[in-house]
Amino acid sequence: MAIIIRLDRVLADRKMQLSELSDKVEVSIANLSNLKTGKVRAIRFSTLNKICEVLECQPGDILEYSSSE
Amino acid sequence: MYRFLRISVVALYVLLGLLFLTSVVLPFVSKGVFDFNLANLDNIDIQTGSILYEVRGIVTLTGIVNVKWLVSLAFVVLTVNLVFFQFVLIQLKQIITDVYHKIPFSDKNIKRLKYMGIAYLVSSVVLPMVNGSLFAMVANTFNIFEATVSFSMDLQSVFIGIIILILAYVFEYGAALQEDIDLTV
Repeated sequence: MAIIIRLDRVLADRKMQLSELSDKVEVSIANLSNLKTGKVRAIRFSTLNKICEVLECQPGDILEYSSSE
Repeated sequence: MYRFLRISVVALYVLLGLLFLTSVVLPFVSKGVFDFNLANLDNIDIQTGSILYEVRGIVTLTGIVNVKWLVSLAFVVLTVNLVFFQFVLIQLKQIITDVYHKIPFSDKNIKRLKYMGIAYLVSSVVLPMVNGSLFAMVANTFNIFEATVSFSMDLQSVFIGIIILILAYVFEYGAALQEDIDLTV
């Protein structure tokens, strides 16, 4: 898909572990890891909202559109 | 419910095994054993669908009829009926197992429902033919009454089959929705 998840980059910037994010966002590590590797089909607005809240970023920092694919 | 189905499946397997054993042994049994004295016959009850025919007034019959082929055919008819019933029961048992484990919209369940629907559609043609042939043979062997057997589809089974197939397609849609939900974070 042309939408790329940049969660790992934002996490590295914030120096945060996936498990820590999982605790704060209240989404299981398995699901977050699927999200990070792009294995999911959709993301709920509520989940995106919580992730942006915890990481103090914009949805655009996590999601990126690339037209090359 | 699940336990009842499981016991039924096992019981039917035992019954099918016995039927199979009998059908293996039957050809080797001497014909004389199957001589049937018509004088012992009081009346014949024949049930087709919900109608029970009681054939009476045959007390006057005498003579000896050999029923070896009739008994053999009866076993074949029983086996065919039981195999169909067992097949449907096994599918049902597995579907209930999946529902119990909270995975009702699995791909396997859709396949099972489709198999069940097709089995009902096939049985709607095959079972009346098989059962009718037994009826025809009873009429021929005892030669007591004239009977014409016409084979027609069992409409009730056709309806059940179609409904199950429609359900299978509903489940297919459900499975697609389930996959969407499972892949949503």
